[in-house]
Amino acid sequence: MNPAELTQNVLAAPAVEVSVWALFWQASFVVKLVMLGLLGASIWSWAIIVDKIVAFNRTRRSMDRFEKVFWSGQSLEDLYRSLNSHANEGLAAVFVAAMREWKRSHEAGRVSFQGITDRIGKVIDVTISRELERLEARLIFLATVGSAGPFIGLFGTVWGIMSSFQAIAASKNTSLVVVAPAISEALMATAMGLAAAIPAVLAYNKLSTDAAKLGSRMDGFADEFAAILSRQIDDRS
Amino acid sequence: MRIGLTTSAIGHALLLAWGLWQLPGAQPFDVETIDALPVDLVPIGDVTKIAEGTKTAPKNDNASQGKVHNPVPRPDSQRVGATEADQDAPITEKAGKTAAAKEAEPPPPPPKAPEKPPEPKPAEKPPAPDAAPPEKAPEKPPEAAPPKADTGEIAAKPPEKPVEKPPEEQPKPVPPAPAKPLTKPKPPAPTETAEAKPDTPAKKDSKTTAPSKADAPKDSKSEKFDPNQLAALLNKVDPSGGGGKSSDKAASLGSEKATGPVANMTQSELDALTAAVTQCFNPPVGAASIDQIVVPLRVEFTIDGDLARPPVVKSVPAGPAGQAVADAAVRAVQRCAPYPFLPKDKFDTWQVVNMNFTPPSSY
Repeated sequence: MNPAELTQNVLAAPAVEVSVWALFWQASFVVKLVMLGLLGASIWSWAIIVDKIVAFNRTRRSMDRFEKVFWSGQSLEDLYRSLNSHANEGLAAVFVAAMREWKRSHEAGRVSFQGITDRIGKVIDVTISRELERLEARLIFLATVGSAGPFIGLFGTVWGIMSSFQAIAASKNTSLVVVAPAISEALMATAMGLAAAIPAVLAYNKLSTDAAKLGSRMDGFADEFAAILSRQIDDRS
Repeated sequence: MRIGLTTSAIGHALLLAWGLWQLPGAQPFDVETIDALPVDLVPIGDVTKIAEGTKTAPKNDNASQGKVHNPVPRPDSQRVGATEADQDAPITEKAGKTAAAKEAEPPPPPPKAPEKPPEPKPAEKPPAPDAAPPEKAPEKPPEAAPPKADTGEIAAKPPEKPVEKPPEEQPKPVPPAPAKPLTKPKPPAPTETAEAKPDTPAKKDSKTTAPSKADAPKDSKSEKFDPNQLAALLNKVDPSGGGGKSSDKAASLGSEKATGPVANMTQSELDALTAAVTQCFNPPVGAASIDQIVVPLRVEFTIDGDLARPPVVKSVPAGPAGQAVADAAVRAVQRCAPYPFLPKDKFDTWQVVNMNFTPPSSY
């Protein structure tokens, strides 16, 4: 293909390809990087969203199950023995932690019942906060993507437009046919940023609210259980 | 975490694939072809066809070279209003004029001779008539002879004339006076607006005309048949205004001048005049709320801006202070006179000013 022919071809059909893939492929290096980064952020945030939804549902179900067993009148000792063997989460974790502390203090034969109550309360608090931490893990990534995604996309757009203007200046041709594709591809970066950020923001709001609800549910159970243990202590003293 | 990651990755892959296949690219805009519109460029010179002029070309009577002839106002169309008070201009006989004009040239000599004898009065007058110009002779005859109804004013004048002339003629003039004296004086001096003026050339004319009437006592309505006067005889129209019809409308405010419609003073000149008068205004002592009063004044000026006569209060405003304020306004106008700032070239417009003087509200 000789140069003259090439020039003719370019002149005949100047950047006709405007599909998404073509836009991405024509973009400059920085814009490509931004777009890829945004794509990765989008994939990761959606992974978190799916994972969290699944995890919250599972936690909610296990809490329901545990509460049903707990209030069924079954002996707490038996329940403790059945749960102690494997890892627990949610209310079961709180119950197991409190029971373990109770058993240790009680079986050691210590007389200070006031100290037992304090210790059990502390253990319950620690367990709840650990559980909450586990529930809310990675949610912060969603918040970050939601707030920073548009800016990152905008950066890609600005960079793309900047470089396209430089290209226009170099080509000494300002016809819209020449200018439009470059600007269009630059704008795609902002579109991707928004596409990543919008679901992240929505999901963050929903998931953090759900986590707070689960946390308060655990708090309520902890108070009730602490009351039961304290009654037991008073009875035995 | 693995579940979420796989789900997300698969979802994105699907989305991208869908985007690639389903959103291949923007559809190009439909650009409708526009029919070409033929446009011819035509030099303006082809249309206007203006040719360059040469200094040596012969003069041609075209519009650009024609001289402007200002139309001379017809003498009797000077007053706007139709009311009697407006009719400053004289009422003349159409017939008299036309007939007179015709008579003046060829026929006058023959008819005059025979006519003179029949009437005794004319005969006596001849001494004076000699001096009278021949041109006027024709005009007068129609007027003198016909004894028609007179107005009071008219009657008054004729007596004066004879008095000045020969005393003997006094009795005679009285009868002829009833004829249309109005018409006589006016034709010669159509622009005269001042009948009141006692000794003006106009009167002299009238005097001279009086004797001339005697010379030619012909009447448009007289019985004598003169073929040369045929036109005059045929014209049975009574004397009427000779010029354009005077308007049927009452004179509008401020149009007291002889020519032109309403006074054309610009607002700034009126303002200046009002301001000057206002400065000289001293409110009457003890008059309360005089700023509600409007004093209509009629002020006549001379061309140098001085007062031609004392200003006239057209109607004394109502209220207890009305007369006092009106007098104060008159004093103000007089005290401030003259008003040199009034433009002389517009004298026509401010010769008579009808101003509504309002005392300054600051008092």
